[in-house]
Amino acid sequence: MMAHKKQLFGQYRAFMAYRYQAYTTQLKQLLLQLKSFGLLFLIVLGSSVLGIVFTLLLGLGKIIDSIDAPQYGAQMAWLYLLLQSVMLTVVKAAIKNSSQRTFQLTLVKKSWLIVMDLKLLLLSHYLLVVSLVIAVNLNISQWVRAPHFIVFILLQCALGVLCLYKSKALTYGFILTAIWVVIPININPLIYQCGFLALFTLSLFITPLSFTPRLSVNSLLGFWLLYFAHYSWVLVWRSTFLICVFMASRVLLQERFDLAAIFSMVSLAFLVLLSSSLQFDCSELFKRYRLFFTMQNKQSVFFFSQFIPSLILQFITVIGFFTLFKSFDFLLLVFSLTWCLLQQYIAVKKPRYYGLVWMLITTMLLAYAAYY
Amino acid sequence: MIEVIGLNKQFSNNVVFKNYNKVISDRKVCIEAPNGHGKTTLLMILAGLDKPQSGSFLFSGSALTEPTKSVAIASDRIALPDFLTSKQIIELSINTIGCEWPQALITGFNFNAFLNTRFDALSSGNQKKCQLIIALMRGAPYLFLDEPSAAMDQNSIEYLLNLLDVYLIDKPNGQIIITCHEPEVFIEHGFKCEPL
Repeated sequence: MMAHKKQLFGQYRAFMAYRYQAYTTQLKQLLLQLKSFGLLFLIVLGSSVLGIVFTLLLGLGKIIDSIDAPQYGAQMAWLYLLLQSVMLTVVKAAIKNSSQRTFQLTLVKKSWLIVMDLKLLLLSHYLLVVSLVIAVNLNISQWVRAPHFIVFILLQCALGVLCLYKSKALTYGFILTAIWVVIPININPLIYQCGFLALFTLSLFITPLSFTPRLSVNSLLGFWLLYFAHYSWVLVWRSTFLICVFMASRVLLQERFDLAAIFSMVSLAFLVLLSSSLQFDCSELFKRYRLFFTMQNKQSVFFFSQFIPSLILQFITVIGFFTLFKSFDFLLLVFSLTWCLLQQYIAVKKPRYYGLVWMLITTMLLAYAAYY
Repeated sequence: MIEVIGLNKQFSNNVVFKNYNKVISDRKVCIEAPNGHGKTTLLMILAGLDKPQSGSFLFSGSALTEPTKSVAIASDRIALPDFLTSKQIIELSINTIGCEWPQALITGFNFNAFLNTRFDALSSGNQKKCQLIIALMRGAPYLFLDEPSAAMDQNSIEYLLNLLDVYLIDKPNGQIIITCHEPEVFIEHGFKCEPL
């Protein structure tokens, strides 16, 4: 009996070591992929870590202390949950070791796989860790004012699990809760959080819809539309970060309106970065299916079509930018589209310099904004 | 007749063809060579889908200005959009080329049941059938098939052979070139084996 238990424990430890190794290997590969965006892009991200951590803590503060502005707190919580889902989706394959899932089942029983998934999920769930650290440091009187924070932490855990096993339900949940947080009602933060919980639970029972196999693809436009329908992830994570940029700009504008010119330039730079980086995905698609379209004698049209999605995204986001800053400037619109096109060109021709060019132009813009 | 004159092609340091010359005069030819010797590369170059460092090609004595209009090719090297269903891929090809819906081919290859399946979810045999349907439906005078029988079931191979028997009837200058490692069945249907 004892020997059997010892053997089982040994097996579990060996399996655990394998999963840790697979996890770290895949994370390293992810970092390498990021490196291909350009070293400076990494430096930009790296140097803004402190700012990001500060913004996250500020956001968590707004969620905890939302008794006076419950709807704003709920919107912040929604954004926070969306951001954590995007971050977890990036590392999901590493957490689950998805590519060797069947192989794992030939080694151990399924429950062990799930235990390891949850362990690695906890290890990757930085936003939950931050919330837990804050929760531990809250005193009794703060807890009395923020009972909804417990439900929020529960949601963070549940959504992490949903992200691993029921990503479709997660999508539906975010659509339903997006409607929930924009309805103009004045309710307690606890009810908002319980509403989140109820809606995400409800989304588990929604049958996944798949309309794309029935659609006709008669043109290149249909081809691109179906690509984005199937690989909506490339738009989802960008949209999430764009919402974050808009929310952060709104908060900063409320705090320091005198620095509006600088905030607007920083926002514009991030819009260009997020829109033009879509070119990396479109170029990959172009390279992959270039021969197929050459065979159809459509190589030139297909080549030019790869630049359009980024420009459309840039156009839409700049309109959002003008709405946020309550001004319309035609020259700025043309400038941002030209800058986006330049970044796209560099993404195709000299991807290593993508980050450098973006940073140089951003620095020049900031210098211009600070000077005037 | 297809003539290859002074072909030079290399990938990085790997020289595939060095001043290569070849005349393919038979109407139905099976090119044989071990793996990695450039059979698929030659077909891709002839179809205008791969660019050589130098060389010229004559089809019935003249160079093709737009090879993609006179040549149809089926090869694993041409990635089909794997996020689309087979039906959507065929529709897209029909609309860009301007030909009829290939119902006879679909029925002949017993492919009806897989039209609404995403390409990446098809078995390798069915992926091959989809490639063949797209190439055959064009009715181009020059037909290049790269390993056409690989992974396909017996009934579909027989259907393909019967199709190839009659493919050139209305194409007086047409030619079919295939690459294959098991050419016996093709030889029985009039193909002539030629080394690369």
